[in-house]
Amino acid sequence: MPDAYIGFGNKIILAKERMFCYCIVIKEGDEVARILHIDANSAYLSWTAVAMLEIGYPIDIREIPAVIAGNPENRHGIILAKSISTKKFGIATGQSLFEARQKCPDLKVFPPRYDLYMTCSNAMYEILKEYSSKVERYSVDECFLDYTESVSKFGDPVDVAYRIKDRIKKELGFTVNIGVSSNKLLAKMGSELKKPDRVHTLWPEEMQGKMWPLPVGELFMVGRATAQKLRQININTIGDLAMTDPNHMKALLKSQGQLVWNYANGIDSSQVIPNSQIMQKGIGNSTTTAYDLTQRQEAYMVILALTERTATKLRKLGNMTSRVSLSIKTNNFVSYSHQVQLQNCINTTSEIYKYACLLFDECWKGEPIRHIGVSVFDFSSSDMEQLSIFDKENKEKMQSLDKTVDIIRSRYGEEAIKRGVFVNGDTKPMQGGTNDGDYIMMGGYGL
Amino acid sequence: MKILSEPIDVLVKFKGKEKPTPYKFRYLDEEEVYHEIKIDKIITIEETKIVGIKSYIYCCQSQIKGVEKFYEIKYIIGECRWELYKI
Repeated sequence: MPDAYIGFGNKIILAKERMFCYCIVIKEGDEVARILHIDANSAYLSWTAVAMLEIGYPIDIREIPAVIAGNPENRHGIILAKSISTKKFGIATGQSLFEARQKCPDLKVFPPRYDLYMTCSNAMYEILKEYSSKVERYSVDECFLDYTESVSKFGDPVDVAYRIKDRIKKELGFTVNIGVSSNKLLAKMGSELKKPDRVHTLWPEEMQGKMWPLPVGELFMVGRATAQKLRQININTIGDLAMTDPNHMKALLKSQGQLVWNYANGIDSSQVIPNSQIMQKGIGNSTTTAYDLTQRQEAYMVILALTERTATKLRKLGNMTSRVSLSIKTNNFVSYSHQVQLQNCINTTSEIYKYACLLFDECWKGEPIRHIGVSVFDFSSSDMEQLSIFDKENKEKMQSLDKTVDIIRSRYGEEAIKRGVFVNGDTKPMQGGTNDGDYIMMGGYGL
Repeated sequence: MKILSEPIDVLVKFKGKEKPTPYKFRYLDEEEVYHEIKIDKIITIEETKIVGIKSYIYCCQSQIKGVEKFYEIKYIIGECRWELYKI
């Protein structure tokens, strides 16, 4: 019952967990993976800082208490990125701007510039692609690079990591941290060690010294709630977690327990998969509204604006959906969602919107709404389609209309054509999302 | 030199695969008056991609108000526009 492989030097160790002990099998001659995790330091903030310095802004905002935050007027006032000097004020990513300003009255606040961030991210990706064909864009500021097959061409992975780090700093103007190891998890944990502008190795034999003394909350996939549960049973460091009985962890946290125990022991067998090969399982789009929605008609309009973008992306991927989901967050921060499994597959905006409204009518209890999301799942290719006698008569017409609208929008911009219901209104015709990237914009490790 | 990053109107020659060659440019001062400057000499052309924005930076020399001055103008490739970058 092999569970995972751990790389040690140029050998592979097959770890079999059995209660408190391991049975280790060494296979000679196998090539150990060399994985690099590249993480831009305070990405949004440093990209904004460099762009501002380029146009003559007198201060480097990386060196003063500064944050990137959304506009509080339309209730997007959340800290997206912060400079290192905000740490001493206790300002954290995800906090409200109001809270942050109370902690540091001199705080400088800058709006996000998503187009710039995409340009920076693309430029970083272009450099990384020179070193390996296997680069996974994990988020806008993070990439995994499988260097295993490039060792013979470019040499030692640590030397190359330094070369990449210095090139990005010189050519693009911002700093990155690079973690080097034998799997994705350890490479990621390595890049999270001391920042900024550093290269860290975290080989399995270095885990004990470098990773195990860290607080358990620092381990990837251990969030606030899990960390609290673990601390309650006196597991305070990653090392404590690694030393516990995995069955105990499984009993406490179910499958998550096994996962974090594996991670604490540096066990991760996931591969670096270039994004073009990743199968997308769902598309979602959501927004926090500028004010609480209380009228059904207002909510319908927001749902339509969200559906426009969800459906456009679905069609862009050449897919059809058979499951539509709607999520709502109320003004009291209570979240709930509702979904419907369809008999047939759909990809037109109007049909997805119809089902989203149906779901809304079924689940909304009349409370003021703060946040709405529309998602679609269970894809099938739009190349082949199972027709149904229950299909709408004008289905082909609607598909052709959507196709035309998509072409107009891609050529002349999203604002070029909009539905009549949005004319002369305050509701934006397309809502949610920040870009049209096929990967997560910030953070998140979607295994 | 100080960074200005002001948009300018430039008279340029685009020739085959060569990098564009600027000849003269004009800029608007604070009193909304145009000043035209002939580029006497292009000293260096540097390609940069700071924050992923591909640009050519031309280090130039001209006589401005009777004084020989060095300055830099920038061609932002993606936006097809020029800036008086540093002076």
